[in-house]
Amino acid sequence: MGENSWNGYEHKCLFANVGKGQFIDVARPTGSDSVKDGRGVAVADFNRDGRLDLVMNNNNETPVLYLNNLRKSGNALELKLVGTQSNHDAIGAYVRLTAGGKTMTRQVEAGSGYASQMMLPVHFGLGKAEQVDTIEIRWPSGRVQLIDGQKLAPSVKGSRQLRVKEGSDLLTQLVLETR
Amino acid sequence: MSKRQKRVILYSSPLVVLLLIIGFGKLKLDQIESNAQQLAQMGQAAQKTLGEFRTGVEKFDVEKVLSCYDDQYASDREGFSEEQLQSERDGVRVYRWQPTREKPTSKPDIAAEIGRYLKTMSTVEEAKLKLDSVERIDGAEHAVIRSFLWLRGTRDANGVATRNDRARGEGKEAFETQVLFRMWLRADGNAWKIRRQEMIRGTTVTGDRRGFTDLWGRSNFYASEADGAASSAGIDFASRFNPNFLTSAWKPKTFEIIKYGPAGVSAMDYDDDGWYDVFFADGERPRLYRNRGDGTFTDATLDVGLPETMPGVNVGIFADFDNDGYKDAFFGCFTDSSRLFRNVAASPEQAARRKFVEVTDTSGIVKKGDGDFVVVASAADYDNDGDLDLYTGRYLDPRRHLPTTLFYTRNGEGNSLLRNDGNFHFTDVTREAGIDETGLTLGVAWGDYDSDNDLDMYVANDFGRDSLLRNNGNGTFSDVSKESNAFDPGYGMSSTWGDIDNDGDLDIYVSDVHSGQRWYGQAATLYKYLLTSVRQGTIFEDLPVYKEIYDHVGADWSTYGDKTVKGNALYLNDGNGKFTDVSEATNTNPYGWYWSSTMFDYDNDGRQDIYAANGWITSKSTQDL
Repeated sequence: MGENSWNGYEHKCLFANVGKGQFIDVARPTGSDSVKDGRGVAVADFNRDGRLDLVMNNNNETPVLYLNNLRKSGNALELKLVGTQSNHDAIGAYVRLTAGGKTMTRQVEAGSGYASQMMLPVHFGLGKAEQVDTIEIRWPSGRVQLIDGQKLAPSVKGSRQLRVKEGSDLLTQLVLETR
Repeated sequence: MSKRQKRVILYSSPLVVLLLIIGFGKLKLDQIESNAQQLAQMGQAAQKTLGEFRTGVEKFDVEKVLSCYDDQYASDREGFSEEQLQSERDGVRVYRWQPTREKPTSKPDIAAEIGRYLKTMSTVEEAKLKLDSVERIDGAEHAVIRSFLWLRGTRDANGVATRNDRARGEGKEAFETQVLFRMWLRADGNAWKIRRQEMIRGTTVTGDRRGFTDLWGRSNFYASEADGAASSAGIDFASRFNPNFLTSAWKPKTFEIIKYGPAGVSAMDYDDDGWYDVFFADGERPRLYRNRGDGTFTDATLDVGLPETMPGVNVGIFADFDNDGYKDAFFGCFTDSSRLFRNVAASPEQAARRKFVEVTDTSGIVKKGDGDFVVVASAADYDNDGDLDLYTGRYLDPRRHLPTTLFYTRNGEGNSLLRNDGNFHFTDVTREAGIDETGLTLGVAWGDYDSDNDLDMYVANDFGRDSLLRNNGNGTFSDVSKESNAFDPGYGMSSTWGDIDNDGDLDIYVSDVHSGQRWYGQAATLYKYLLTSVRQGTIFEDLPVYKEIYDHVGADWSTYGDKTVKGNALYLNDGNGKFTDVSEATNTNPYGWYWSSTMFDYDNDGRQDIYAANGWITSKSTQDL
C-alpha cells in the first residue's frame, strides 16, 4: 500500500435537501465535515432540544459527537410509539404527519446504514409551523390510528415529544427546550 | 463446470454472442485494443495538465494556471463564471456559478478571471482538479474531457460578517467550491493545452462552521469552548483493531484490509429514562455510555454487566425481543460467535437500574464455522407476529477468500434471517424464506417500500450487486432488484430508507465507492477486459456471472463498468414498485469511499437531509493512492 491511503482524510458530507430535487453539501460551512476515518453514524436528540445530533464511530480513532446548535432551526415533533398488539417499540410502524403544508413520512427502525442504529422516536421538522394538522400511524399490527392535531396541547409553541400508545387516545407530551 | 453446462451458458448468453460479433474479424480486435490504449493514454495526459492547473491554484500562481491554456484559447461566454448568491441561512451561504460575460472569452480574459478569483481566497487548504471523464478523442491532437474543480479554504466574509464576528476579529469564513467543466484539449508538443472550456455546473458554499459543535475537548454539551477534556462530554472511547487479526488463527492473509473495517455505533435508550445512550461496537473493547441527562455521558459498560472486552463485535442492535419495555442487545461478531443479552432489572428493588445478562447459549444463534463473519444487523417483525426478528449480514472469510470479481461478487459467508420464537430463542429460517444472499454484505435495512404493511429489505453488498428483497407476506421473500430498477452494481457500503421527497413512500440511499479513476471504467476498457479473458480462456469461469449481469441489465451492459464505480445511489420510489436513481442529477454521489449514511432532518425544515461518512485511512499521508 506504500505511503498513501486508499481514500484518506475525506470530508464527511451533509447533503442539505433544499427542495425541488436539489441537494447541497453543507458539511463544511456547518462544521460537520470531520476528516476522521468514519464508519458508523447514529442520529439522536441527545439533549432533548428538538434538534438532531450525530455520533460517528471512526476506525482506529476517537469518535465524533456533533451537537446540533443550528440557531434558526425549525420546530420539531418527536413521536415515541408504544406498541400493545404490535412489538413494544413499534419497529416497522409508518407515520405520516401533516403540518405547515407538508406531509412527511417516517418509519420506526432498529438498524440501518453501516452497522448503525438511530433513535427510535420518529422526528419531524415542522419549520415555522407551531401546530400539527394530522398524524396517521400505521402500526405493525395493521391498526391505523389517526391523531387530530387540535388535540395536542396548544400551549406548546416550540418543539415537543409525543408519546402514543397503540389504540389509546391518551397522549403524553413533553416539551423539548433549548438550554 | 461440465462441458455441457458451459455450452448451455455460452449459447444462452447474449453477451457472449455480442462479443463474438464484435470480435468477428482481426481488424476489430485490434480496434478494441487500440481504443482501450488510446483512452488510457489520453486520460493520463489530461491528468498531467489538470495536475499543473491544480498546483497553480494551490500556490496562487496565475502564470502556472495560465500555462495550461492554449494561446489560441477561445470560448463562448460559459468559459468562466461568477458566483451568484442563491440562499443565506443560519451562517451558511450558497452561491451558484453563472456565466456573467456577455461576450466570448479569449486567453487574456481567462488570465483576468483567474487572477480575480484567486484573490477572493485567503487560504487554500485543499485543491483538487479531477479528470471526471474523457468524452471524446478526435485523432491524435484533439480531445474533449470533463474536469471537476474542488477547493476548500477560507476567504473574507465579503463584509457581511456579523458585528460579533468582527468584534472577535474574525472576518474569515470557510468555503468549499465544486465546479464541473467541459474542456477541449489540444496536443501542443508533449503537453495538452486547454483550447476552449465551458462551465457545466458550479457551487460554492461558505459558512461560520457553527451549526454543529464537535464536543471533543469539552467536558459537557454546554461548555462554551474546549476546556481540555480528553473526551467528548465524557465519551472517552477510541476504537481499536480486532486483536484476533494478529493471531495465527485469524490473520487475514488473503484479504488483509478487512482489519480497517470495524466501527459500528448505536444510539439507544437502554434504561428507558428518555435520554439517549450510545454504544460503540469495537474490534476489542465495545463500550456503552449512559447519557446522564445533564450534558454528559459516563462509561456504564461494566455497570450494566457487559464484559470488559468482546473482541470482534462489529455491530450492536438494541431491540426489545421479549416486549417487556426494555431493549435487549444483539452483538454481531466477526471472529467469534455473535452474542445475545437480555435486559433485566439490576435487582428486584431497583427496577429502573438495568443490566444485561447473556443468553447466547440457549438462543439458538450459532456461529458459522470458527467465527460468525457478521458485520451488520437489523431487527424488525418481518412476519408481523408481534415480536422482533433479526437479519444479519455477513462478509467473506478474509483468511481464505478474495472477492471473486470486482463487480459481481457472491462468495460471502451468507446472510441469515433469524425468526424470534419467543423466550429468547431464534430459528434460522433463511432457506425457507427463500433468501439466498451471499454478497459481501455491509448494509441491511428494513423498509416497507410497497406500502403493503410488511417489511422489505435492502441489502448493500461490497464488490458489486445490491439486492432489494420484497416480503411476500407469507414468510418468504423475492429478489426484485431487477424489476424494481433498484439494482446497484456498485461497491455497496450501507443502505438507508426514508421519504426524501415527501411523496409518502420510502426512498433508498445507498453508499458506494466513487472511484477517482471512473473515467477509465468505460466501454472501451470493458471490451478490452472481455477480449483478454477470451484470450486467456478465463471467460468460461466468468460466464455464469456475465450471464447474471446480462440478465439484470440487458442492453445496458456496456455501461456496467461505469455504474460500478459511479458512487452513491439515491433511488426515488415512484410509488409503483419502481425506483429511479437520481444521484447524478442531485450531486449526492461525490468522489470518495463511503460507509454509513443516514437520512435525517438536520435543520427541522420538514425535508430529510443525508449525512454520509467516508474515508479509508491506511497511512498517515494525506495523499490518496
